[in-house]
Formats: sequence, structure tokens, C-alpha cells
Amino acid sequence: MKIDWDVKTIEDSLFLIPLLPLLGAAALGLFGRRLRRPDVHLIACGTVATAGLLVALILLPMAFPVLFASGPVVSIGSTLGTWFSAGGISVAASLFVDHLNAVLALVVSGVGLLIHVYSIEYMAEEKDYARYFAYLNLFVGFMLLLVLANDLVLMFVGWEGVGLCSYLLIGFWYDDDAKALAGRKAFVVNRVGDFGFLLGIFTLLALFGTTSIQPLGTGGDSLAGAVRAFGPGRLGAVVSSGPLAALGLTYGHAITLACLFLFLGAAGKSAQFPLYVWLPDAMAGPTPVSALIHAATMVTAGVYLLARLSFLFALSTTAMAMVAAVGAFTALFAALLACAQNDLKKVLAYSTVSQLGFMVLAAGVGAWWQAVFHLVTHAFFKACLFLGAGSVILACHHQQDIRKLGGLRRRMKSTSATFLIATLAITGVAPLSGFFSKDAILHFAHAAAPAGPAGVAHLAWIVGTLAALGTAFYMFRLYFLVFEGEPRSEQAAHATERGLAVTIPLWILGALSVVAVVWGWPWAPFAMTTRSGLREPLFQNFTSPVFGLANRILGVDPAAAHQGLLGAMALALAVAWAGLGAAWWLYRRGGIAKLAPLFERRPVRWIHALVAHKFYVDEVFHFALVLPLRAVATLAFHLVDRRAIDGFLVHGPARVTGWAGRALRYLQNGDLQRYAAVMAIGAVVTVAFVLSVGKDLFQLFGGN
Amino acid sequence: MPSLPSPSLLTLAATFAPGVILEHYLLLAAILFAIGMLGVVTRRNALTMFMSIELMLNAANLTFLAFARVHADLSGHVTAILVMAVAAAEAAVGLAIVIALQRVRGTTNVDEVRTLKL
Amino acid sequence: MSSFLASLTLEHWLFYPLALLTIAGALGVVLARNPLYGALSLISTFFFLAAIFILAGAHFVGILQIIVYAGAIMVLFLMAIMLLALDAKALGRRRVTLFKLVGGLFSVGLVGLALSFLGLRQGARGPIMWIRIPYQKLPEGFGSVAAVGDLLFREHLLQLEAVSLLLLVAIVGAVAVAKGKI
Repeated sequence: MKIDWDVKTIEDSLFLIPLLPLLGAAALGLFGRRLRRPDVHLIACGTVATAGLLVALILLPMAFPVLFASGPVVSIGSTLGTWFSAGGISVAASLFVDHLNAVLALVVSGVGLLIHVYSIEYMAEEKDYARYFAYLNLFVGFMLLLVLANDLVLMFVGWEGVGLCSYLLIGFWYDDDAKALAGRKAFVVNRVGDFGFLLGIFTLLALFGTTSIQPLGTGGDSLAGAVRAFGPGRLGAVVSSGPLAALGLTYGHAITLACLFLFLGAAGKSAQFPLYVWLPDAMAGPTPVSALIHAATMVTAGVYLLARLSFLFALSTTAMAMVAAVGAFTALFAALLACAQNDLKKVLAYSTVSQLGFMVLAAGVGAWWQAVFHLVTHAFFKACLFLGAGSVILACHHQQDIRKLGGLRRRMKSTSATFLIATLAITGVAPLSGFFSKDAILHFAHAAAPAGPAGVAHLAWIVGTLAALGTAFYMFRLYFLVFEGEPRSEQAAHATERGLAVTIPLWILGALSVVAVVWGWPWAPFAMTTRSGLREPLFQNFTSPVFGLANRILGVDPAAAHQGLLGAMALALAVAWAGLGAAWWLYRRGGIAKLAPLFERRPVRWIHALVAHKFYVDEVFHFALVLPLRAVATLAFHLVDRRAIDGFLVHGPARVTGWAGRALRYLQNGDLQRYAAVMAIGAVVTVAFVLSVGKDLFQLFGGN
Repeated sequence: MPSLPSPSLLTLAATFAPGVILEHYLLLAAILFAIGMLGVVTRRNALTMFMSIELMLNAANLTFLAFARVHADLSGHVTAILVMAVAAAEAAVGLAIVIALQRVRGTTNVDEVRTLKL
Repeated sequence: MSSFLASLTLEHWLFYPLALLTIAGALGVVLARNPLYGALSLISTFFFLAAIFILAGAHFVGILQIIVYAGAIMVLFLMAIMLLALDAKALGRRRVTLFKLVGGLFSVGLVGLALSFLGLRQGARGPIMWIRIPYQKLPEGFGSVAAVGDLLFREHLLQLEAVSLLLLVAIVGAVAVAKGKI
């Protein structure tokens, strides 16, 4: 029996998906102070849940086409109309859903809902809870807009919107200067990336004359359509029309340029080196916010952008190599930094940067579905880790220093169990989800990377494997320090588990980190066997319509992608267990004490200091960027603002008016007849003027 | 239109107009207006100035009526009537001010009142 | 010459004498030292003007000119003059200032401008523009009370009501200004 229901029927209500949370945000923002707490919760969770339900309704026929009479659905879209058009540019307010962003939208609304529920408990003692939930809803709305937009300009709206919400939520406790500053830093660093994104949009606009991603319904211009129509020899041709014609670029160069700009945007949002600096500071916000925005969803927007425009990046070997290199470097760099952090949330923050590095690496070597799959699994286990961290922070009265925690396993059973599951998942211990997502990326980079100079992919593989080792080490270091051993502070000794609103989301996310295995496991039940006899993981099969174009351009050999799969799995397991073992020996068996003398030795001490100080990147930025900018700003303040604007433009007219008044005062003597005489003279002169040239004017305006 | 080299504009005008030509009405209006303006500028008595203003308003009325006649359009007449009403209003308020001026300042000569306030 | 005389109509015969009388009356207003004589002169001017209005076909407006201007408004002026009871001392001596001189010269210059413009003084640029406007034939009853009233109440009702409101405000304002302390 098949379900006789056509997904196209909800095409017209597609816009409701981002609109509902936005409406919720508006309601909470405007009337939140007058609402009772349960009503606020109901509005906040209800709108997100409804949006999630709508997404699920669309996703069902996509995931299980067998059950539906309508057959497989590739994508649905709807256009509300033209948002604006100027000159030859026309931007449509159009949304669309395909296999890629349906999954992401579900993750956003699903994880978003869990975190909303979790926040009810976490923010229970917060007075300004309505504002908090308004921001959170606003975020979910903008994130859904970002994910569902079928136009880069519309996507940019969501992109800026989530950046705004990130800023608002990081600085949620704005009366704390440090937190407000962290929010500002996140905003300013993100501006750099956003600027790149904008330049990328402009370049694409100049090149293709459209910013629409997929052709919808009647067709029209779109980037995917333009790339599909691209002949093989076209990349070498010189751009001869449009605004870029004057530059004498070839199409290949122009696309590389656009991709690099877009990647700059992605790097800003997804915290890639060197624009990652804002993410660790963003931990100043409430912990559920860190889980939702700075781990699960917003920071993955950059990866989504890369996956969304995969067909475009596939055209540019240089851009792909750049993406892969930056991703690999970020993964290793952040993993190293995470090893030397002592703040619970900071470790997780660097871990997020590192995992985002993996995703970007994947996008750079052409492992599109692996990148998105890792994005999804990462959303589950990292959200779980952050919520677990939030639970610990709540239980230990905001004690976040892992050196002062410990022994929480016995006191917080749910938290520690789910934290362990998530840790195992992120580490890549089989058979949890991280094993099939992260290690699938590394395997693909090693075995089948067709993009770019082969050296980059292989280098990415080596660096990525090292980063995976680091991941295993720092995650278990964190786990052992926080949950095992004896409590090292008063707060840790008296920690107690919170209520169901905390533990239920934890267990759901923990379970999802396990269950997600099914989608990435080549031998899982329901996994497809391709015509050439290869086992295709569910997720790969599911997203294949989205990445078909990019894979065709890259020329990925599916058979090569399967070579050495077992060997890669063995290596991944070995790396995971090695990291686990090292952490166990150091932090569980007292290895750190035995190594203490080694840390006294000079080069080791230096290296440790270097890592512990995060390679002084913040300091470099401070001296190289912040101080010069501040100097320029001071100069501008004294010279431009004080002198030019205040002195000349503001006081200048006042002074001139004063002088003029003093000078003209003598004309204004109150003698009525003098005024009358002046008026008469003026009138006569005017009449004389009109009469002398009036005829010419008369003829000028068409008189005879 | 033929070129107009005629020695006598008056006779020429007669071929266009069945009566006095428009220019002469306008010229009369201009002269009246100029006289009124002369009065406003040179006479220092507020009452005389007001009467001069009335002269100027009448000059304007004359042009309206002259054009109304040329175009055979009564709108000019309506405007003239409205101008009369406005002149009446202006005279009423203006004379009240002159009387107030006389009471407060003891003079109706405008050049003796130059502080821009009563 | 006889053809010229033959071309003259009654309007010509009446217009030019009346125009001269009007100008004389107007000059009387401006030149009379005592406002009382000026006002009387103005009344005569208004009468002559009313005659000219009627010559130009504006019968109703001409009558109004006599009733409203020469009647109501001028009576108002005479009442004011009477109230003020101006004597030679109050009027003061004539004063000549630079501004009066220049303003007066310009006022007289206006007549010159009008002359040059109306083509009576044929210069190189003498634009004989208006004369090209052909006289429309006047319809029956042009300028009569019925015709003007019809237009006034049919098409210009709003303006009429606005002006009536203005008159009301002026009445109240006049009372307030003349009576109240300022």
C-alpha cells in the first residue's frame, strides 16, 4: 500500500518554515515581558516544532519514495515573487528543498527544538528569559532561511541574520564587559568573512548574471543551469561580456576568484584559520547557545555553502586545493590547541573548530556527502557534548575549569553516560557515527581524491589523520578529567543531576549519535548496492542527486573510492584507540606526573607554552590588526571627527550664520517702507528679467 | 500670422479686436499698479499705504477681467470677486491694526514704528 | 483719417476718457497729503474703474466694485480716518529717503517696462505677442449675475466657501485686534 500524498501540495507553504520561528521571535520580542513563563516556552518550542514538522513532511517522501504513490521527489521549490530588481539584476524571494537542505533543515529545527527544551531548565533562573527565547527563535528562523534559500542574496540575508543572533546571544549577558566584547569580536571577525561572501556573490553576478542557485519550475537563469551548460573548453575562454570583460580573465580564473571569495565567507562563518579566533570567545554566551549556534548549526553554514555550490567549486582546482589545505590545517591546528585548554567549553570550542576543519577538508577534496554527513553527525554529538557541558556547569555552579572538576560520573549518571557516548562518537571509535563520517572523509581524501594536485589531497589525509589522533586525545583528556577520578573542588563534590528537561535532550542526542551510524555504514541494512556491485551508504545514496553535477565535473571514480576501505577503517580505529590510550595513561594512570620532569626541559616547555597560549594568534591579530586600526580610528577621531566634522561641518555653518546675522542685521531695521521699496525693486527687476528673456523661455518650452 | 509692419498699431489692432485692444487694458492696469506701488513706497501714512494697496489689487482685477473678455471665459470674473473678498478681509484687519497702532503708539506713520513689535 | 474714426466704437470713446480719469484719481490717492482726500479720490477711482469693468463686459463685477469697494470698503476707510482724527501735526512732514527715491523710480520704471512689452514702443525685440490672441466672441449674457453666479456656485463653490470663512476670520480678527490689548 502506498501513501497517496504528493509533497508538492506543501510547496506553497514552504515559506512558513522560516516564517514560523521568525513570527515566534517577533511575538516574544514584542510581548515577551507580559507573557507568563510557560507561554513563552510554548511559543518558542511550538513554532520551532511546527517548522520541524513541516520539514519532516517534505523529507519523508524524499527518504522513503517507496512508500509514496508520487514516486521519488528530487526537489521542491516555491517563489514568492521578485524580491527586488535593479537594472539587469533580479533577485527572487524563492525557497527550495532538495535532499541536501532538507536534511540540514531537519537538523536545524530538530536540534533547535531539543535545545529549546533544554534551555527551559538551563535558563530557569534567568529573568530575561523572553529575550533569550526571542533571540533563539530568531536564530532558528534565519538559519532555516539560510538553508532553504534558493538565491545567494536571500541566503545572505539568513547568513547575516544568524550572525546577528550569534552576536546577540554571545553578548546575552551584556552587562558583563568581557561577554559583550566577545560578542563584538565574533561580529567583527565575521564581517571579514561576510565581505568575502558578498564579493563572491558580486563576482558570480558579474559572471553569470544571476544569483539563483537551482532552476525552479519554469526555469530561468540559475548558477546550476549555467554550470550545466558549461562546455568543457569553456573554462579557458576569456570572459568577453559583462562587467568582468574589462579584466581579461578567463572563465576559469573568474570562477576561481568567485570560489575563493565565497570560501572566505565560509571560513569566517565556519571558523577556519585564520578567522577561527571568534569561536572560542563565543563561549561567553549561554551554553545551550554554544551548543546550537556555535557547534551544531550556524558554524556549519560555511560547510553548507561549500556543499551547496559544490558544482561551482568542482570547476576550480585551485579553489578546491585551497579549501582542502585550509581545512586540514585548521583541523590539526585546533586539535593541538584543544589539548592545552583547561576550560571545559573552550576545549569543546576548539574541538568544534577542528571538526569544522574536517568538513572543509572534505569539501576541498570532493568528499561532498561525507562533509555533509559529518556535519550532521557532528551536530548530534557536539550538541550532546555541549549540553552535557552545560549540565556539568549547572551542577557545579559555573565551575568550568576541568582541573577543578572530576569524579562526576558517580554523581551525574545521565550526563556522564551521554557524554561518553558522544566522546566515543567524535573520537571515531567504531561503531559510532563519527567513525563513519570523519573517517570516511579521511579515507576518501586518501583513496579517491581527484581534485587539485594529488599532493594536496594526500597531505590533507596525513594532516587529517594526525588531527584525528589529536581529537581522540583531547576528547578523552576532557572526559577523564571531568568525569573520572576524584572531585578536585567543592562544587564538583556536590554536583547533582538536573531534571528531565536536561536529560531527555541529552539522551536523544546521544541516541542519535549512535543511530546515525546506519546512514554512513556501507553494510548497514537498507544500504544500496550499486550496479557495479559497490555498497553505497544510505546517506551517499540519499544525497547523490545533489552532488551528481559536481561529481560528474570532478570525474570521481566510485570504484576507487572503495579501494582500501577496510585498511582505512583499521587505521582509523588504531588512531582512535591510540589517542584514547594516551589520554588514559596520562590522565587516568598518573602519566602526567611522570612526564612532569620532561615539561621542565626547555624545548618542551617552550612548545607547551606556545600551545597553551594558542600560538599567540590572538596577540598577533592584536598587534597586526587591532592596534593599527585603533590608531587609525584615534587619528580619524581627532582629525576627521573633531576637526573636520565637528569643527568645520558642525560649528562652521553655525559660525557663518552668526557672522551673516551680525552683518545683515543692519538691513533688518524695522522700517516697513524700506522693505516695501526693496520688494518693489525686486519685483520690477524680476518683471524686467522675465520680459527680456521671457519670450525665449516661452519658445523654449514649446510656445509659439 | 502675417508680419505686422503697419504704421498705426491702433488701426491694426482694430482688425483683431472689436473694441479697445487688450494692450490698452493691460497698460492701464500697469499704470494703476505702478501708482499703487509708488504710494506704498513713498507715503509714510499707514492709511494711505493701505489705499495704495487697494489700488494695486484693483489693477490686478483689471487684468483678470481684460483677459476674461479676450478668452470669453468667466473664470477671470470669479477670481476678481474672490480678490475683492480678500481685499475686504485685508482692509478690515489692516484698519484694526492701524487703530490699535494709533492707540498704543499714538501714530499712524509707519516710519515711526520700527521695532518690529507693537 | 476718416476710416480710422469710423473704426472707433463706443467702447473706444468711453474707455480712454475713463482711463485718464482713473489714473488721475489714482494719482490723487498717492499725492493727497490728507488721507481723507486720498480716500475720496480713491472712491472716484473705483467708480471710474467700475465703468471700465462694465465696458470690458464684466457687468456683475463692475456692480460689485461699486457696492463692495466704493461702498463697504471705502466706508470702512472713512470710519477709520474719522476715528483717528488725523491733523497736520500727526501726519508729519514729508521725508525723502534714498530707498523711497529708488523705490519710486523703479515703480515708475514699471510703466516703461509695460510700454516696451506691450509693443507700443517698437524696439528690435518688441514682442507683439498678445495681440495675436484672437478675441473670442462673447456669448449671450457674458458677465451677467446669472452667468457668474452659476460658475461661482457650480464650479468654484469650495473657493467661495473658503473665502467666506476667511471673511468670518477677518471679522473676528479685526474685533480682537482693535479691542484687545496687544
